[in-house]
Amino acid sequence: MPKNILINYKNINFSYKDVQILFDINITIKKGESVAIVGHNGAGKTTLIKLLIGVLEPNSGTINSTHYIQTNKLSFMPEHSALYGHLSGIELMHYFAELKGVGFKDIDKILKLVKIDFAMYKKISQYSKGMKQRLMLAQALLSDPEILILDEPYSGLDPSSRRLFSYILQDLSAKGKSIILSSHTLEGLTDIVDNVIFMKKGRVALSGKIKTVIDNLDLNDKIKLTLDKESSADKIIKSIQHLITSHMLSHNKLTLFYKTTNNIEILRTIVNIASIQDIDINKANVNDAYYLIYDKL
Amino acid sequence: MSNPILTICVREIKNTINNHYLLGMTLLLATLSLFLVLLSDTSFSGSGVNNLSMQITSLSSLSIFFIPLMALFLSYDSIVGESEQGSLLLMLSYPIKRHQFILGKFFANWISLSIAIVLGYCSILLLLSFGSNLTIKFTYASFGLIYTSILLGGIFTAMALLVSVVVVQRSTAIIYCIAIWLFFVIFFDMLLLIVLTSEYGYIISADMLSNILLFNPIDMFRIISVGDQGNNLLPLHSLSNVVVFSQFILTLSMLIWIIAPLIYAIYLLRGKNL
Repeated sequence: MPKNILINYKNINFSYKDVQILFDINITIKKGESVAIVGHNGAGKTTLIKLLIGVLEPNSGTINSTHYIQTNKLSFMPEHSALYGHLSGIELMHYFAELKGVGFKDIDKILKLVKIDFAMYKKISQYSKGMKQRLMLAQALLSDPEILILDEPYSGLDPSSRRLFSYILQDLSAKGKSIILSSHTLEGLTDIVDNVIFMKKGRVALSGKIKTVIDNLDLNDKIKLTLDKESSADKIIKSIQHLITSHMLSHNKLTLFYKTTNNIEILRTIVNIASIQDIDINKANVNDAYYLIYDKL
Repeated sequence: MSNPILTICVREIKNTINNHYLLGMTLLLATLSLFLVLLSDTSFSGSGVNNLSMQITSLSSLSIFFIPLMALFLSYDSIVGESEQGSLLLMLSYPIKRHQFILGKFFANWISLSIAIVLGYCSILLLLSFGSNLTIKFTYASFGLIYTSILLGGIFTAMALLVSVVVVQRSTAIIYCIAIWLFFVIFFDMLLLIVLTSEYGYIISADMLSNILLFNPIDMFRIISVGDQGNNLLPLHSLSNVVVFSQFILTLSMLIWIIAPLIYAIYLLRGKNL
């Protein structure tokens, strides 16, 4: 196995009580790469995460990975705040540090980083959900891991905690740490991860670099036009029919879907023949890819 | 690198201290045992029954009823509780082997219970020593009782941990633990007695009965802890005559009763789908 390969899963199948949950999973993650595992509820994301952290073993397939499972190279943050409410934040961090066999010296720094230091002596049962999530992230950062696996890290977070999480994860990613996270959506994750695995009904529906995935899907860009009363939508559509793939009209709002290569010509034609109140141009993005995969594929 | 078993064990013992379980168990044992000792001291003084026998038998009955119950309730949610709140998944992603997790929990709960047993029963010795009622024989017999009570606590702690691995909900674990307590403390001997006194009683020979008693840790505890003191009390005297095993074999059997459920719990946790 090449040295830069961190995780290499080939033809992995997993079933529980005669129900197959994962089908023929192939994943390769290189050192320093960050990946989002995206999918609906029941797509198999959490099961895949459990395989990655080593608490489940596949029924068949080949795993060629760097030895990271149950070592301090790996840290995991579960979806639900798996914390002991009767302990204070600092007691919990000491407990986890002892279990990881790392010292206590970085605990204060980490608690400051996740902005929970002000409540470190409070009982965890008194923490809000966001505070608990931040403490979960803090425990994951304890051993300065090479791989950080997070199951739905943004679930139920308020905007300020979301921003804090994004900032911390971006920073870790920039430092060359591998981040693997699961999510229902890719929204807000493109700054953190460069690769995506779309899961659908226990299978990898699509995977690769985010940009490549979008390009390969041949997605449409779109222009949303708010037309003046005197402008005729029919006239616009007729004149650019050969350049667009589809359109939607609702009152004076016209949305045109087209391939990126045609954008300049479309805009020029519209400006020449129509009177427009407002124009909004949207490049195809990961969310379009998401909807295409889950609604159409 | 610290030892995960020790780390988990220390954390759990601190928990039993902080949530006053340890204090509660100690007070319960101390109060009830003192009450029983004082009661047996007065009620049977003129009955011809040896006072020491009566006191030790009363205390062993206390152990039989309360120690399994305390052990089961201390440990029933050790694993299933962690699983329900999601911390089991997190813990097992740490550099902790599954057997270390179970052993850490087991030793913590067993040690906590043992501290309660030692403090609870030793408090009677202390109180009796103030009134000059403490004899060497009673002290010796009490230490024997403490030792076997600790073993009994270990057995039911191990059983509770096994239940905690098997079930997926705390509420189910409670039901299983109550069933275990009822079976070993009440029904096992009751069923045995029914069979022995029925027309089919001849099927069970004395040797077979002796072997059957090894399947109930409560009976083993009763035989070891009461020992010679039971010779003055008719049912226990009969029991001592029936059992052909030495104290060593009986103690070893109790240890097996601790180890076997633990090994099975570890085996099941290894294959458990989290």
